[in-house]
Formats: sequence, structure tokens, C-alpha cells
Amino acid sequence: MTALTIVAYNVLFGDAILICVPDNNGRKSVMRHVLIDVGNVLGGPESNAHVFRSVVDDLNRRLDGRPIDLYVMTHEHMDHVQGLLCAQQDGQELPQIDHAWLTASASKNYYEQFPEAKKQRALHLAAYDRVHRIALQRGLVGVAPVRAFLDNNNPRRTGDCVAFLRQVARKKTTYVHSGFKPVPGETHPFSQATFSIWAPEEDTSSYYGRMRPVMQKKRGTRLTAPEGVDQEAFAALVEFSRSGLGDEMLAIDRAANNTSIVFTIEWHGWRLLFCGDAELRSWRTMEKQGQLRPVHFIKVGHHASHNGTPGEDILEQILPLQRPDSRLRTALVSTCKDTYNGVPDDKTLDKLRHRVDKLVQTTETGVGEAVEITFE
Amino acid sequence: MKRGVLLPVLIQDPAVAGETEARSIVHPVVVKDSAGFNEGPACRRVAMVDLDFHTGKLRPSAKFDPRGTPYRDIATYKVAIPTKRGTRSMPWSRGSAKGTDVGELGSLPLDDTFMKVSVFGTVLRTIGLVQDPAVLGREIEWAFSGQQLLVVPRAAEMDNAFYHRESRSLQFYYGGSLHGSTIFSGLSQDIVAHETAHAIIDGIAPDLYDAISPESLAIHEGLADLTAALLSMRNRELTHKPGQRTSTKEFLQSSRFSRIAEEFGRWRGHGDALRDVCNTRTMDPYAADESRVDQTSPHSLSEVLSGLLFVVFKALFSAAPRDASVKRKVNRENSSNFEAIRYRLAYACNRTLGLAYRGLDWLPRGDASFADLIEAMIAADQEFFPNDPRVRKVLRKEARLRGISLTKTKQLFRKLQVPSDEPTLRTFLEAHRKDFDIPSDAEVTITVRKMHIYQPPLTPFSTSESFDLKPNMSKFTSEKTEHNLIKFTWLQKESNDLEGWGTKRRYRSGATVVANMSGAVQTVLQLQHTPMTMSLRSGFLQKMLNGESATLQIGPDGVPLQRGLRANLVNETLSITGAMQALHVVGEFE
Repeated sequence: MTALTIVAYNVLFGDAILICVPDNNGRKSVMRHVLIDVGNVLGGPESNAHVFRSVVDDLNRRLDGRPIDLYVMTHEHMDHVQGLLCAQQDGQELPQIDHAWLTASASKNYYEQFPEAKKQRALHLAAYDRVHRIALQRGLVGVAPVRAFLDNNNPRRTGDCVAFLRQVARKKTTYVHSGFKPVPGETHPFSQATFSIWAPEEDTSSYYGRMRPVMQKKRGTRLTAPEGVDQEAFAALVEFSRSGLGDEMLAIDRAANNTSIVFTIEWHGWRLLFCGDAELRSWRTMEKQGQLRPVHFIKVGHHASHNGTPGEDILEQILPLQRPDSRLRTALVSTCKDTYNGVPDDKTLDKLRHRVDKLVQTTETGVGEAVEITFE
Repeated sequence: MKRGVLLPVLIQDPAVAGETEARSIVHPVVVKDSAGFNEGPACRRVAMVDLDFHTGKLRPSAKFDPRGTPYRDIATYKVAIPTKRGTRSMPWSRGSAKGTDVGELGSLPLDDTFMKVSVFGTVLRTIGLVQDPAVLGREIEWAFSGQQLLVVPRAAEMDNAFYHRESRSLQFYYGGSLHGSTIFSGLSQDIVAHETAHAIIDGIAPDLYDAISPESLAIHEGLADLTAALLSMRNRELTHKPGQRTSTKEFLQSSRFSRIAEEFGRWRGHGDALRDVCNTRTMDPYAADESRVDQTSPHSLSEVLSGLLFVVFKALFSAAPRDASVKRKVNRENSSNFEAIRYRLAYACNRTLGLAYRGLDWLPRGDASFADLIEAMIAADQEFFPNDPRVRKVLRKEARLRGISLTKTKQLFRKLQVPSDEPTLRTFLEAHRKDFDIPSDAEVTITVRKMHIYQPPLTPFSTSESFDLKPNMSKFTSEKTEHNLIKFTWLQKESNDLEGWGTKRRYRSGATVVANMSGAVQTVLQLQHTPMTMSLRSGFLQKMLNGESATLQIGPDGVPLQRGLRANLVNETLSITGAMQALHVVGEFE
């Protein structure tokens, strides 16, 4: 019981990560467990139950009757939240969970406390509905990346999963943000490992970017330029107003990604960074708040998309080329090809390879199986 | 067909209107054009398109009312101004003492006609301000093909407003609320004037749109803010407090005139306003924190330029009573204190905007810095006002105080003759390639435009606001004032220190030659590239390229993303276009 092990499951496009942490409470040595997320997105729960079955079976085998000490739900996207509910609905027995940390904005009364975030959230929900309607109109819902986007951001399905996760812990559920200081014995049971929360900000309103609404084409109507208006200029304007559907989808996706809990576990001199799907806005905020520190391990954000990994200036602060110590560095990429365009992004992977000793991908193993990384 | 229209224009952000002492928040403007006006409103240069981006529906046009005014040749649009005390009609009287106080604006239904007429009026006023014989003295061409700029006054819900070259449009969005009313960016005169100024600046200096230097993009922002602030100085209803002597203090300090977009700024949490042209912002890296700007941010940098030019405005406003043309006008009209101040304001605004826009007109094409623009302003001012060095002195002093290093303009061609036809010019250029520091392998584009160097009429004929969309220059120009404005531009390469983005990068550089019609060179301007401008480019690009890819990015729908910024890496050389669009339409970077 001397090594910390990270077990990352291949759940197709999503995250399911178990961390087995040797701990000592002064009286005896124990192995404690942190479970992060469990979810995926590829056509909804029906077609993916088999993946979660394997994951939950493996969890139960490894836990051998012990509970998950801490469950972390990084953010409210189906590829991070749907697994446990889906497995339970499939008739599987889930392991017991003692403590749960959910991203701050998942709290039931969160939006009553943060009115600006509430407004932004309402705009994004309306945008989701509009994008859905346009996707239907344009016959795009069958296109895999569009379907993945719609499933992943579906507020009703996500809401069901989050409601389930709010009550999954038998001891305490905590809604976590960057000002939160984890107290051993109160919000987690670890004695030796320490946690530090880098993100998100409690008020998530700053994570919402601008969304230019895409114009819906009304069936059977053709817009003609009003009298006195240049026809060519009008056509260019209408073309612009109907474009940008992809940008709007990504803006909706980005807002939730940026609410990801980003945290480190420090154990026996190792600093391990788990960043959910945090995107650039979140990384920039972390930088501004002076949160960034060199780490030995990074769970690469957003499945190694080009926009989930920060630029070289921020990477240099967490994986500096001039290393502060001689410990090995590892990056974990939990990803699946052909779900979203350009994910994983080859250039991002190259950027990471340049700074770490080992880059491990969940695709190196079979679906439902896991890759392991150990730290001694 | 009536050649002119009388337009009611909203001159104060609705949410702050109640906090100001003004005779009226609506200002009457008369605009004339030989091609006349249409429903919409629309005219030869600008058309309102009230398209709802949410529903795809066009809201009804404002109806033309040819008999709406008592003036011959002046029509109007059928509008009702929604106020808190009910619907009002236009304050028709143009007499300075007879305007109707419409008080505070009431809530606007999304299909009202007032907003589109008001936005139309502000767009035309801004164009008129810059085209005035006192400022640029010519009709501005747009940076896109076609003559008409489209304006969408309330496109959809979003905290933004922008000029977008590709769709030939200004787009104003709305959202949020202050004091219970929805905030429409189209109801902010500052925002409408600012965005219109972007379209004007793009027409004059189109290369700034694709520049990769933060100062080049900040030139756009700084001049757009200055234009908006100086336009508000022209609002007689705001400069005249009923029953009081008008104090000059408000024009010389931070006030509702110098602050840009108060309502929008408050909504977005920027304090009193988005920006303030009355500022002490500087590029001096050793200045106090509150004055120092982020030199990789075009919006932050822009305050240095707008602040600098506002100091010029203040100097001119203070000196105006001593100017012969202002004195003559004020004495002849036996003007009241208020009218005298309006002449002073018009004089100072005209001279300041003339300085700025003539400098922009003469600015060499490409990635220009503040120093390049100031050099161009000084060069043009020297030719237009050879016997009045005051402004040039203030400009030099203020540039130094704000950490901008000016270099000496090249004198190398002073004694030369330049041809004016392109084939002979090309031969001339090849003979002087080294003098212009043009790389031997660079392809050079040459443009020649006729222009006039004349004595601008700084004091207006009267203080009422009536202008023609095609300025009549016959009184000021002749064959003798005609000159050639010759511009050379080429692509320059420099080493690229951005990891993963190739070893070289491209940006545009250029030179300007002003010559009289016999070919005698009067001015030569050349963009200066220093290690500092190179390092600022790196800092800016570092920020902009975060999360970008050199390959075309495809959205989930299989269509290329619109992000604005287009990065292209060929043979280890990085080229970038669309920075201006990325900053404004997407706005994720700042």
C-alpha cells in the first residue's frame, strides 16, 4: 500500500477516473478512494449502459465493499455526470459514497444567490433550445458531432443526473469553488493527502461568453431586401445572420466547461492536477488569481480539444520546461476519436508531449477497461 | 422628391438622461442628399434594416412623410417619441429657444420606429462630422464594395454592438436592464457614433482591420471614441442648461461628454462608463499603476490615443476665443454666452477631428503605431496650417508625456519629383526600394489618389445642424490646391517567437508620399518598426492565438467556425487576418 494509483476508464467520450490514495490517520494505514465524474456522450444512456456496467463492476471489485471516500462531479455535462445514474437505472449496485463535491453552480438554490449568473444561464438555455430547433430545421441532428453536442448539453437530462448526484453522498455534499478550503474530517476524510481548489469562481457569470444568436430561417419564406436597400448588401447581412451555428454551440458548451472544478491532490511530494473540462476563460482566471503551480500530473482538460489546454504561457506555469524537481511528469488524456471534430487535437497532444515524460490515453485500452498510472 | 430630411436624434443614454440637466434629450438634425431619402429610413449611403435575428422577421419600416415639416425641400419620417410622460412628436422648431423638452425616454416596444430613425440620424451625423469641409472635406468610401452601409438597430439579445465589414453592416444588440428598462446599444449615441466611426476609419485605412499590432487596432478604437465624444459636444440641447449661463468646465474635465457609453458601461460593470477620453493614460512602463495601460490590449491602449487627442481639443477650446474666425463670428452675431460657447466647441472639435482624420488619411498603409499616426497628423497639419504650429506643439508634448517616441519624418525625397502614373511610379519605386526599406523580394502595391490641401473653414456658418451628405468643396478647393496622395504597401516578414507558430510572421508595411501636381514631393511618411512594436505584436498574438489552430476550424455542424481570427501557417511563416473582427464580434480575448 505504498503507491497512489490513478485508474482512468475508457468510457468512450467522457471521464471516469478513480484515484486510490494510501492514507494514514495516525492509527492505521488505509487505502482511500476518490472518484471523479463517470459519464459519456454518444447518443444518450440507452446505447452506453454497457460501458458503465464495466466501470461499476470494476469499481466494486477494487473497493471490495469499502466506500468511495470522496466523489467529485466537475461540471454539469452528460459526459461527466450520467454514468452513476445510468448504471443504477440499469439495475447495478453502486458503491457507497461518503462525501461528494459538486461544482458550486450545481447547488439547488445557486441561481437565487447569483442573479447575474442566473440571467446568463437563462440566455444559454434559450440559446440551446434555439440551436436545437435550427439543427432540426437544417436536418443536422443526425450528424454525430451535433448529436453529441445536443446530448451533452441537454439541460433536462443533465438536470436529472445532477439531482441524483446531489443526494448520492451519505455523509456530506459540498458545493465547491475556488475560495473553498477543504477541512479534513468535515468535507473529506483524508489525513495525509491535501486538496487545493483552483477553480471555478463561485459567481460563474464571468464564464459565459458572448453568443450571437443565429437566425432561424422560417419555412417557406424568402427574405427580400426592403425598398431602397442594396440587394447585395442585404444578402450578405442575411447570410451573416444565419451563420455561426457551430460557434453558438461551442459557446454554450464552453460556458458549462468553464464551471469545472479544477483541483490538485498533494501526496508525498507529488502534485496531481485534475481540471475537468476547464477552458481558456477559466485558465485565465486561475492565472489572474495566482492559483497556478507546477504539477507532476495533469488530467488534460476537455478530452484534449484545442481549446481545453491553455497556451504556452499558462502551460509554462504548470509544466515549466525548467523543472523544479526531478520527478517524472505524466499527462492523462481521456478521449475518444470521431465524436467531436478535431478531438483529440494532434497539436495539443504534441504540445503536452513536449512538457511531460509520459502521455497516457484512455484509448490505449478497450472500452470499459482502464489504464493505470502510479506514483510512489 | 425632397432632398432633405429632419431627423429626431436621441443624444443621451436613456438610463442616465434623468441625471442630466438638458433642454431636451432629442436633437433635430437636417440631412440633405441629391439622391433623396426612402422609407426605412434609407438613403444612398446608409439603410436601416430592422431585422430580428431571433425570428428572421423584418420589422416595419419608418414611413416617409414628405409634408411633415414646414420647410421647403425638408421631409421627415412618421415617428412618435415614447417618453415617460406619453408619446411626443418631434420638436419641429429648429430655433435654439423653442425645442420641446421630451424629458426621459419611456420604454420602447421592439417594433417602434423612433429608434431606427434616431440611429439613422446618429450614423449620418457621424458621417457628416467627418466629411465636413473642416475635417476631411470629401465623401468617404466604404471598405466594402457598394455604396450603402446597412444598420441593424436591434439585431438580438447580446451585450454587444459592432461594425462588420463582410456583411457591410453595423449591428446593435440589446439586453439586461437599468432602472427597469431594457438596454439597447442603439439608443446610446456614443455607441452608435463609435461603431459608425469604425466603418469610416475602415474606409479610410482598411489595412488596420487585419493588422496584428495592438497599437494599429487601438488606433481604430481611440479615434472611434474621440469621434463619439466630440459628436456629443455638438449637441446643443446638452450644452445649454435652461436659465443658466453655460459653464465651460464640463467640456474640459471628465464629464458626460468625455465618458463613452455610460449606460452600457454601468450594465457591464465598467463603473461610470466603458471608457473616458479625458484621461492620463500612458504607455510609459514606469508610470503609476492607474495611468499605465496593458500594451497588449487594443481597448486599453486606445485610451492613450483618445486621451492625447482630447488634450489637443482642450487646448484648442481654451484658445478659441483668441482665434480671429471665432471672434468675428461671435461679435457679428452678437451671440449669447451659450452661442459663443457653441462656436468655440465647433472650432475645437473641427480642428481636433481634422487633425486626427487627415493624419489617418495620410497614414501609410499597414501595421501603424501611435507614433506613425502622430507623425502623419503633424505632417498633414503642417501642410494645412503652415502658420499655426500650436497644435503640433501640444501634440508633440503630449506624445512625450504619454510615452510615445516620435521619430523624425524622412526628408530624403524633398528635392525629388515623383511621377503620378502607375507605370512610371513603379520605375521610380524600383530605383528607391532601398530608401524605403522595402525587402528586395516584396511585391509592392501602389495607389494614387487626388486630394486637396486647402484652408479648412473651422468655424461653422451657423450653430444649427444641417449638412449635405456630399460636402460641397467648391468654395475651398481649386486646381491650385490639388495634390497626389501616393501610397506604397508591401508585406514585411519578421522572426516569430510564438512557439508552435512557425519561425517567421508577416505583417503589412508601407509609405506615403504627398506631392503637388507638378510632382514636387512635399511629405514622405514611412511606418517605423522597432523592437518594441515587434514585442507588442508578440504579446498580443500570444493572447489572440491561445486556443487557436493554424488549420481551418470546423464547428460541430461541419461548417467552418466564424471566430474571426484566421491564422495561416505556410512554410513556417504565420499570416493572420481578421483580428479586428475577432476583437469585436467574438470579444473573447479582452
